[in-house]
Amino acid sequence: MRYGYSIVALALGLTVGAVRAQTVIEGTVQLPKPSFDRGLNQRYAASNDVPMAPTNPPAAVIYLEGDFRSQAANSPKPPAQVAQKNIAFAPDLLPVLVGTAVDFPNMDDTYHNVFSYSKTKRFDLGRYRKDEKPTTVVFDKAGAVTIHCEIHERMRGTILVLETPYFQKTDTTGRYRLEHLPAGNYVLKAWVAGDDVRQRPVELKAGTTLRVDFPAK
Amino acid sequence: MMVIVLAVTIATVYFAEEHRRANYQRALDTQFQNQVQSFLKIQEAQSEAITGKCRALAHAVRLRAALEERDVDDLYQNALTELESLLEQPGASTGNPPDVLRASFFRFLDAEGAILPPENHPAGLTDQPSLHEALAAMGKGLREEDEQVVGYIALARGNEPKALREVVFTRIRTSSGRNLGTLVVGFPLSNFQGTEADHAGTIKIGIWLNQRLYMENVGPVDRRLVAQRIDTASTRQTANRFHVDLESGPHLLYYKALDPETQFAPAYQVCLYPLAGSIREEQALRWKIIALGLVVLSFGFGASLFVAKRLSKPVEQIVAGSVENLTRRKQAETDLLETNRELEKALSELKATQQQVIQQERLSAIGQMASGIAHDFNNTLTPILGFTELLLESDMLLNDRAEARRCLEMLRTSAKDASNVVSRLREFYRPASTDEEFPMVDLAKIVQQAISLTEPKWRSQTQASGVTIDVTVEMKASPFVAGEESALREVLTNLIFNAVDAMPEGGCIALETAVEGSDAVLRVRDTGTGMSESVRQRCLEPFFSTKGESGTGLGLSMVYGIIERHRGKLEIESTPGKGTTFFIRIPLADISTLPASAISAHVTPNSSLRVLIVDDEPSVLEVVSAYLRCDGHVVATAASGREALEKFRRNTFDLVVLDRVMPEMSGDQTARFIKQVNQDIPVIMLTGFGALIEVTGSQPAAVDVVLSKPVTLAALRQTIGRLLDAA
Repeated sequence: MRYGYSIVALALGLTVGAVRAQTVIEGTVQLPKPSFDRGLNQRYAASNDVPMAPTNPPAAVIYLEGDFRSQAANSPKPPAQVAQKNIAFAPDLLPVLVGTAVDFPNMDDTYHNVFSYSKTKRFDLGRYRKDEKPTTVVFDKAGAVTIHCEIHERMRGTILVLETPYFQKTDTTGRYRLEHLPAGNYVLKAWVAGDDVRQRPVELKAGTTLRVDFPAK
Repeated sequence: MMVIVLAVTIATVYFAEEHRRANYQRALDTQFQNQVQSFLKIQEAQSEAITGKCRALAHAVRLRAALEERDVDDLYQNALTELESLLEQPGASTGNPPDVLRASFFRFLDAEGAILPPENHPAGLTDQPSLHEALAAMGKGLREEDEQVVGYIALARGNEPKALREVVFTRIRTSSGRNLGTLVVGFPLSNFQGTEADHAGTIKIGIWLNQRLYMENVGPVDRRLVAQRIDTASTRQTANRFHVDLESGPHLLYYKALDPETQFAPAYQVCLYPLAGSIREEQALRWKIIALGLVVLSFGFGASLFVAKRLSKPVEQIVAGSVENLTRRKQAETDLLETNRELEKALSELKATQQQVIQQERLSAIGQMASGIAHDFNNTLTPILGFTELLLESDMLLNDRAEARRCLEMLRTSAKDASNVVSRLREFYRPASTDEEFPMVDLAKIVQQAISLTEPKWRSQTQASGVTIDVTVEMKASPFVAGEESALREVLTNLIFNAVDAMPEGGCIALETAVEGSDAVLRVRDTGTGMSESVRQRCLEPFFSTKGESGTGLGLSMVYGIIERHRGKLEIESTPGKGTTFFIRIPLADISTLPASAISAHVTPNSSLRVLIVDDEPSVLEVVSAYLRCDGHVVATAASGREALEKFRRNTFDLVVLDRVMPEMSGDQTARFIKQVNQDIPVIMLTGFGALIEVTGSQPAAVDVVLSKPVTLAALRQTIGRLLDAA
């Protein structure tokens, strides 16, 4: 049965492709090895006994940079979410369009306090427990926002606020595929970490598939 | 005849004097070493506190976040909040004794070691160009892998230790280990001779840094001399203790590298001990002995004159009475021997007095408190662990409500004692006041409590190894004394623990209370191994222990200290193989002079109040709310100053209880805002570790009462009662 569906889907895809060929970029971003927490924790010594929270797998955000301000403004902006779960941000890397509202719900049974000192967006939600208060922040300026929890020093996350609707988070092996792109000359960027943003100029021709890999710097 | 007497006496005096001189030298040396060790112990404890505090600060999430964003405003603003309890209040501390653990400035360096200037933010010592130069140089010397480095800098031109700062560099990293920068906190060096009146004029403590000596009350010639001697000694790696002849007289000198592995300019702790006073003292003693010798000599002359007179009688009489003569001569010899014995006795008495003087000196060494805290803490933990284990392991006990309750009460008593021990840390930095006012306590009750508290040790622990220890109590009286209950309990638990340790084969501990004259007497007797004379003499010394690795050598010195504080006396009788008896005498309490608070400390719970509790620590919120709810009050809680203000504006409260150190808005600020809304509302502030550090911390204006954590139900009740009565 399942194969049947796949074949139908494949056939459908081929038909659509035949009717209007897509402009696509695909490739792989070489991700850094997952870093291991050094477990420096002297301030809240008791939490050393708690099993270490699993660190999020590595990933990068790939996005096409150009003058897409009007598209960005008109694109739908579904609310996004960065939860606090098992003393970690989930997800710990979130790309959003400018103007998106992000909710920071606490799923743990302990207090959290999400804040950011980034110039892109400064906010401080204060301490809260599960369902204690509304925790939504609207990100109205483009840039990277590093988020922390005041109580748990290992918690750390990034919200990448973008002015382009053409973006995607890679899978954990670094693979990506951006579809439905406009033709033209742009810059393709891969955001890996605050100090590791790789970029390549690209020339997109309608109906072609371009392959761009980002090796480690 | 006369020649013999003269020779014998001179020889005796000479040998006695030699012996005494050698002893004296040794004693002096030991005394100096003991004092120096005490100073260094304190120095170490303090340094540990400072570096520990800095390490904790380097983990503050907000500091890390701000440093990562290179957000200088937030960085210094947050650091100020975190360091508030540590930083010197400009102008406020003048006139007070120089309290240690007060930072005089802080700065941040970026990942490359360059200073991030505080711009317009307060960070202590702003107008010191030399500070920034010194820090910039040291910042460049930091290595990537350094986590914490301590250095010393001289800020002013003076030659006194107060011109110096101990600077602690603590690396700030992300949790994945990336270097974000460095926190730099500068502390003034503590100055012990200023705070310890006992040691004024004896030991001088200073620092040698960059070929210069920073020490108070030392002349320029001596200063140069000492600096040179240390310079040569440290480069040649010779002994770290030697005699120096200074302009002001002979001295013993001791020096020690503060951080042998530092990459900064080396600094040495220098201790100088003037020998002039001791030499004078020694000379006085010598004269005493010579005078004694002269007395003995004249006595001997008298005796020989008497013998000589008899000898000058006619020869025939001598011959005739040769038998009689013989007995007389024998008599004279016995007399001489007797005199010699007396001389020896006088000498040994002199020695005993001297020993006593040295003993007192050693015991007053302030260092005994340092590790004493840890020791006491362990003692209070023993019953806590013991009873918890008992409760956890025996379901029967747990189901017996009365018995379980008794165990819990023991636990509470021990925990309170532990908190008392911690509060004594404060006294570690402050000379104990001589006019302490104690409440009245029942010694008999304390004896009973001490026996119950130590039960896990003398019953369970010893029975496990197949040995039986009996404890008997004889209350001949139930005396009341003015004293600190927990301290006296500690005396008894210490003595009982020692007795148990002294009886590996089992035996009997007998406790007895009695009244003799105007004293309450406590007797603790064991049938253990006893002590030899030399051990008995030294057993009160701090750090003297016969228990090897397992002993700290502090138990009995603490006992001695506590009894001294209670104006009591401690006597020890011991026979090796038979056992030891401790006699404690404490003056009976005079009820008429006791403070009123000591007699009645009970306050009935008030009628229901609406209370707002503010603390960022959820566990404290829970405990305090539970306390107050238990008294029938209506409780609202807030986790931050901001939340507290919101709640306060919306609702009506009769009382506010708040924490001092909170992120975002401190307790002081919150209290100020609350008083702006309602000036009449009573505000109680709870302070934690901060109170330990700031001994002379002033009470914020907007707060009515400051209570230190951990707070007990009774203290809270009493304070609330007092506040509302006043209102």
